[in-house]
Amino acid sequence: MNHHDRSINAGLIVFSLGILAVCQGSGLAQTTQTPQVNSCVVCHSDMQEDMKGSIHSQQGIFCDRCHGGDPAQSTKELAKAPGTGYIGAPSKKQIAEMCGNCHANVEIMNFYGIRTDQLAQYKTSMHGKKLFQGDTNVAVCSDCHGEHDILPVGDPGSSVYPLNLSKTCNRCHGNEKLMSQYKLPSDIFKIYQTSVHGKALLEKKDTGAASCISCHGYHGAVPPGARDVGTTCGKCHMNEKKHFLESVHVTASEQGKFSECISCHGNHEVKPASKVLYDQTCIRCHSAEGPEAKRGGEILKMLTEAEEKLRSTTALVKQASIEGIFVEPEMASLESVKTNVIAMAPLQHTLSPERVSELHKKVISNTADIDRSIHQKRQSLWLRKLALIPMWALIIVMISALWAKYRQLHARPGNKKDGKEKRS
Amino acid sequence: MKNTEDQNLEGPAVLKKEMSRRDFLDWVIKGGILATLSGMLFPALAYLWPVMGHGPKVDMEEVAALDEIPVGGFKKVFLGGSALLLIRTAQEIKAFSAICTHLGCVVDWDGPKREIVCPCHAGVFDLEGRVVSGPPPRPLPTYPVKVINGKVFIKL
Repeated sequence: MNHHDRSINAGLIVFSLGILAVCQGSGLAQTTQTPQVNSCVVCHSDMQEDMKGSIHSQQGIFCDRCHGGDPAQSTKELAKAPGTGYIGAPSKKQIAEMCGNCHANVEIMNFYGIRTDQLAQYKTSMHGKKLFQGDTNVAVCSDCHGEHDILPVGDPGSSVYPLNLSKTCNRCHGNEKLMSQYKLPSDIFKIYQTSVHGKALLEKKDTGAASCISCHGYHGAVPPGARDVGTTCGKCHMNEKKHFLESVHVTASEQGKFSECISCHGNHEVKPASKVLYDQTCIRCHSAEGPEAKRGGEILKMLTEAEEKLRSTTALVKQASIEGIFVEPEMASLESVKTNVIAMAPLQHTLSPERVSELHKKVISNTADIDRSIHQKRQSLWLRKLALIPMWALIIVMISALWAKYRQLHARPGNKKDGKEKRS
Repeated sequence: MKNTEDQNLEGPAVLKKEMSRRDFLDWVIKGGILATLSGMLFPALAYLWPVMGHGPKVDMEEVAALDEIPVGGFKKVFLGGSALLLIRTAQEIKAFSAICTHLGCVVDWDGPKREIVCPCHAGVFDLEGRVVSGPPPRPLPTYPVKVINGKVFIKL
């Protein structure tokens, strides 16, 4: 080996040591230092079953990441020896920080595409605030995600999968004894189950329906304040929110006197939006005889009339179709009417009879056009049926003429004779 | 000569002769058969005509002329009981169901934003029909389109 080769080798060794030093200081080193042997399961074989399907186990993350110790050692004493960082079962505060060691580390989470602000969010939540104030009753990562058997959020078996999440929250929030310490109700889940959101999620399995986290947030879970409710609901109900901002209630809402959506629809018990609300909720703040109630009555009347017109015209078009009338143009117009009727629902949040009447007029006008068109087509069909009379008359004349001709031909003496001759 | 004479003699006699019952019956039958054949001819031609003037495939329907839709523009059509939205991009014509997959409102094309929007609950779809935002649970169904000789054909 000449001097040049030795120089290259020395350079490579220095370079490699440099890389190693950098890796040791980074999160990348943590993932590359994962031991290949997990001796913990020799004694804790029951945990091994739990861990088998967990996302962490599949990624080669062993017990020492959360519990400390050295799983590469062959004996219990050596695995838990001082200097191995063994802590046993971590406290709730340790859990939050331990999970954050990886989940708040951009270098580690980057390749999994997982957000790294979860710990920061948690610290802003009611759970996180109370935990770091010393309250160990509150939920920490493992209370929602599980411990050894953590599954990906998108796995239907995960405790935080959309269909399971509200039940997971209810494990604590349905505990009357625990909730009484915080002066919180413990029947939220029962109420939620009967709501339009709860039924959509739990009965229809619509994972897009709102659950606890949709309104309260997940890692940063807090109750939305009176002024934030509209923003929260508006994440899904965008047009309702947009039109509400045009309504006279905005000022009251900004002053904190009116809790936007909740004042009329409720929160956990929110029922399918119904026109009954006009009769039930307006009078909570307004006189039943006052001008506000009158405006509400006007809107209600327009909504009812529009729905009724859509229903009756749809039935008319359907009946005409059954009668064999070509109704495709009317069906096209009906789609437009249906759109306007549906659009009236968000628009009513302006609480402006003038705005609602714009769509109402279109509905009335379009349905009248459809009705007229169907009646004209029915009349046309009747006329065409009448036109069948001369055709039937022609057919009858033709049959009569052919019959007469047949009789004439049959009555010719020669024909009979010829026939007999031919037969003989 | 005899024939000519016969004609001269019999001609006026034939003209004067009233139509017999037999002749009347013959004319009625001939007229009826002619009317029936004429009635059969029209539907036969009507059946053949659309085949000759049809599009690239018999199951494709002509829905618009290309000139009707400017680049970046759209047209709504109703075909076979379905409302359709045709959008013309710089490269092609795209056809979507115009019925929002949320509650069934008729969607619109927002040209400046290059998005398909539902006016009822602010559902937004992209130019592939995929849900961008809002409550629609599914993408908009799309349909194959062909443009031939300046005419737009769709297969439902």
